[in-house]
Amino acid sequence: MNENQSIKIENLVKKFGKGESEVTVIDGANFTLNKGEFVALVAPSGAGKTTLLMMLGCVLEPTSGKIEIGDEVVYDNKWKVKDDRELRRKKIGFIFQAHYLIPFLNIEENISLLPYQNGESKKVVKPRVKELLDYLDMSDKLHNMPSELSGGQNQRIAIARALANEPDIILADEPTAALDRHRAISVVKMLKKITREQNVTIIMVTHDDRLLPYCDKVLTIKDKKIQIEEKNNENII
Amino acid sequence: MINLAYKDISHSLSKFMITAISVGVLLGIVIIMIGVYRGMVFDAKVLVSDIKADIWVVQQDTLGPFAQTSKVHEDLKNQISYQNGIKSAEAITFQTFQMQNKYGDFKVMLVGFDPFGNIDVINRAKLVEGRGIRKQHYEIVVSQKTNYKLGEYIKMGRDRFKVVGITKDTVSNGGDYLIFTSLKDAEVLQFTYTNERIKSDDARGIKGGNPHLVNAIIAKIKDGYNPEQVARNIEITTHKKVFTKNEQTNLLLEKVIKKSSKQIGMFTVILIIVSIVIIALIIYTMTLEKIKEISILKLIGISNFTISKMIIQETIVLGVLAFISGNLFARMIAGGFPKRIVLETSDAFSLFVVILISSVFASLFGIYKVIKTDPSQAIGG
Repeated sequence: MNENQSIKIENLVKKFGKGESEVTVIDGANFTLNKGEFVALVAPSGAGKTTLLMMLGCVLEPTSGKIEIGDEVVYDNKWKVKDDRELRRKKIGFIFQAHYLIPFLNIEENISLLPYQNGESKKVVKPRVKELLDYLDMSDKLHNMPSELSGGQNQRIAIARALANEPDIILADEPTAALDRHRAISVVKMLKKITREQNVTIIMVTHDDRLLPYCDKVLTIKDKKIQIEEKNNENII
Repeated sequence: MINLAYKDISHSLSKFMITAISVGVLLGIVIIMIGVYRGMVFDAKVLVSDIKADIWVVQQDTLGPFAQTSKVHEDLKNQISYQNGIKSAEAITFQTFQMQNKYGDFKVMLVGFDPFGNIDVINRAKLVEGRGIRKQHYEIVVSQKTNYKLGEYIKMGRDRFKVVGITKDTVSNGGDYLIFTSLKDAEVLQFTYTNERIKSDDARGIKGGNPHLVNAIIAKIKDGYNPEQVARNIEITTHKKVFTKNEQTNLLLEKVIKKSSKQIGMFTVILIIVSIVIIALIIYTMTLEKIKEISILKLIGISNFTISKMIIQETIVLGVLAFISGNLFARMIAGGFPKRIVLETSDAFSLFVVILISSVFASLFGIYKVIKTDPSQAIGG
C-alpha cells in the first residue's frame, strides 16, 4: 500500500432500486487520492456527486466495490467497520453547503464537540480550538454564537470544526455555494492551504468552474464513470 | 464534555420556560383535582370527627342521618342514657338551608344541639372568634365562609339570631358550611309552619305543633366499654339502628361520596394521561425542530447515546420545571375554590414520580426519531 495514500476506491458501484426500476448511479469507480491533495468533484446535477460523497463518508452503503480510507479498508463488498460514526468522528471531516453549525453552541463548543466526543481532554482540546481559530484568523470569535457571525465567518468556523478531529479526509459538499465569488475564492484558497499545511485530503463538490484551477485533481462523473484529471496548480494560491 | 441539553435550553430559555409553565398549568389542574378529591374525603369526615360522640342512634332500618333521612323522638335520648355503658346522650338535628346575604347565595347545614348538654358538637379548636352557644334561643354560631360578622343578626324563619361565634373549616359531608343553633331553635325552624299552612292543616284535621322529632341521638360511652358492643346491645333493646363513630365515617365515605370521589378520581387519571400525551408531543415536536442539527450531529459522528441523552435530560428538566410551576399554580388558585382543596405533599411527590417516569417514557418518541434520523439529510442542502 502506498504510504501517502489517503483514499483508494476500487470498482465502486452504487445502484438504487430493484428489478425494472433499478438505476445505476456509479458504475465501477476507481481512483486513488493522496494525503494533502485538494480535489474537486464536478458533475451535472443528479449525476451522483452527493451519492459518491455519502459513500466516501460511510453514510450510504455502496452496492459493491472497495473503499480504503488511510490504511483501513472500510468497505469491501460489505462494511468492514463496526461503528461508522466512530470512523467519521476519527477520520473524516465534513463541510456543508451552509455552515450548519449547531445554533445553541458557541463557536468554541461547536469546534470542540467532536474532540470531546472522541474522549479527548479539555487540556488537549482547548489549545487546539484556539490554534485552529488563530489559523483561520477567527480567534476573537471564540465565545460568539453562530447567529452573531456572517455567512463567510460561519463557513470558516465550519472548516475549523471539520479540522478539529484531525481527520484524514474532509468531504466538502459545495462549501462555497452560499458565498459570493470573492468569498468563495477566499474559502477555496484556505482549503488548499489546509491541505498543504495539515496534510489532509479535501474532496470538494462544486459547480463553479472558476474554482477548479485551485485544485490538484478534478474528479468528473460522466456516464456513471469517474474520470480523473490532474491539474498543475502549484503557482495558484 | 459539553452538555447539549443545558446549551440548548440556555439558548432558547424563554421558549423552554413558557413550554414548561404551560405544561405546569396543566399539571396544576391535575394537582387541584387530586386536592378536590382529598378535600371531599376530608369534608366527609369533618362533622363526624368534630362531634365528640362515640355512637349514633338513628331510625330503624336507615343509614341516617347523613346517608339517609332519619327521624327519632327527642326523648329517645333519655332511654339511651340509661343503657348499659352509656355515659351521656343528646339529641341532634341536621337541616340544610339556602341562605343569602350581601356576599352571595350559599348552602348551609344547620346543626341543632343542646348547648347545655354533655357532648361537644362544636369543635372548640375551630371556634376562631366569639364563643359557643350559651342560651336556648336566638344565638347562632356560623362558619367563617358565610362572611357573617360577630354580633350581626341573621333572620331565619320567623326569628332573628345573633352571631355569637365564628368557626373555621367546619363543613358538612357535602362541603356545605355549618351553622349551629340550640336544639329548640332548630326544631322550631324545622317544624314551625306558616300561618297559611297551619290553617290548611287545621281544615284537614291535622293537629300542628312541634312533634319533637330529631335526626339522631348521639352518645358517649363510659370508659372501659366497647362502643361496638354497646351499639349492638342498644339496637336489640331499642329497635333503632346504631352506628359507632367509625361505622358512621365509613358510611359517609362508602355511601355518600363514593361515586363523586370515583368520578373525580377517574377525571384525575384522564388528566394525568392527557398531560403525559402532551409532554410526549412537546418532546417529539422539540426533537423535530432540531432534526437538521441532529442529522448534522449524527453525520459528523456524534453518537446516538449523546443525542438521546440530550433529549432525555431536556425531558426531565421540562418535567421538573412543569411540576414546580404546576405546584405553585395549584397553591395560588386553591384558595379561590368554594369547597375545600387539600393539597398533600405525598400526593405531590407521587405525581412527581409519575410525571418523571412518564416524561422519560415520553422522551422515547423523541429518541426513536433520533435513531431513525438519516445523517445523509445533512448532505445536499
